[in-house]
Amino acid sequence: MTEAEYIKEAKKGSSAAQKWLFDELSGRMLMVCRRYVRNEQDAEELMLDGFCKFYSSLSGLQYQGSAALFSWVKRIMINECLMFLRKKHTFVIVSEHVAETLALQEDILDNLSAAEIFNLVIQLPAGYRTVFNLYVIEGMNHGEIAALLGISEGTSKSQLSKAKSLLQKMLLQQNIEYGKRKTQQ
Amino acid sequence: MENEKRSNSLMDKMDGLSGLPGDAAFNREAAWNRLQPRLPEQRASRKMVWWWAAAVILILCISPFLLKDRSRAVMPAPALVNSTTLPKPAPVITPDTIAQEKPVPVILAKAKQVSKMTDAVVIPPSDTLAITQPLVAAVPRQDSPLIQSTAATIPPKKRVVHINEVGGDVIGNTYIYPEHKQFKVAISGPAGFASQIVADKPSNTSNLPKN
Repeated sequence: MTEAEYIKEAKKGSSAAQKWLFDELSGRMLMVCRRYVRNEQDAEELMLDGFCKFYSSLSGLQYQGSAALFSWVKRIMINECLMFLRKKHTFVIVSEHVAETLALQEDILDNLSAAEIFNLVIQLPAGYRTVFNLYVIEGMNHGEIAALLGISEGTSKSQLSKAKSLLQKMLLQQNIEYGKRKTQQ
Repeated sequence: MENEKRSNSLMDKMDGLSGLPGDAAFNREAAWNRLQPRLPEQRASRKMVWWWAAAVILILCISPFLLKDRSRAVMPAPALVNSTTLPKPAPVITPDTIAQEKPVPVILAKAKQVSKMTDAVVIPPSDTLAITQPLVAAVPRQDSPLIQSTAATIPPKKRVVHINEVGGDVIGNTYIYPEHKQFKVAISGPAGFASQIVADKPSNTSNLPKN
């Protein structure tokens, strides 16, 4: 049975097909949620809420491939997380002049594994983390981020700048610790 | 452009992440068990159950009133005597009222048409005819002469007495009183028949003539 057939069955309300889709997507979706919401329990709860919305809106879905399905479900999860963050008021509004303009090395993230990037990102404050996730990982521009979060584009830029500088520091710290460990060995 | 490519590669890298090496494996079954009650179909079925329950309760609440109304519909309504709603008595028709009554106009709508078709019919000068005496006058009243004439012809009631109570005899068409029995036999009845009658009389009656 293909993914398209499972989608068709899930649309009809087949519990088995819904379970199959959950098994396929839940692990990755949980990591998406955890990237935005640090708390594991909150992230899991948001993922379940996102799956509820996914199943309820499944009737309007036109299957266009596995990647499209994944990005659609991921978008639902991200929206759930952003709504949660908005409710919690965890965004840190940093004005532009305060923001440091420490540039992150372009290829530094490429050299890191997904797990390492993940561990770095979840250490960022909520505001920085959200903008960094949306801009660097999801590929949105500042206009879209500003509209999505209800902030100005300048604030989005400053948040990203802050996030990059903080990551730079963290990477340096890690390298120092890594170097120390290497020299101790 | 380079930034976008990097972003896409980073996105793919991060999207492929389904768990961290050091973390405990995500328990999908437990998460599914938590999710299943929240699914839309489950909610719909639960909603349906609640709707059914509400409908049953509503029917149970309404049914006594419905049954009450039905029993009322079957049973006849009690007779209510209301003086105001009683029908008016029929008007008493007297000769005075008849005289006062206006003549009933009878419209002969097709009179002209009929007259055109048949020449023998005499056309009245006007389209209306007046009936001066209504048919109600034919009903006899107490003071009418018809009643009086019938009262005169009815004979007065007489007491009906059996012949044995009187004690007389009938000879032919003639009634013979007991005291005149012998006399009448002697005058008008045939001798044989009269003697037989006399002989049939009881012994307490004397055969001797009174006069």
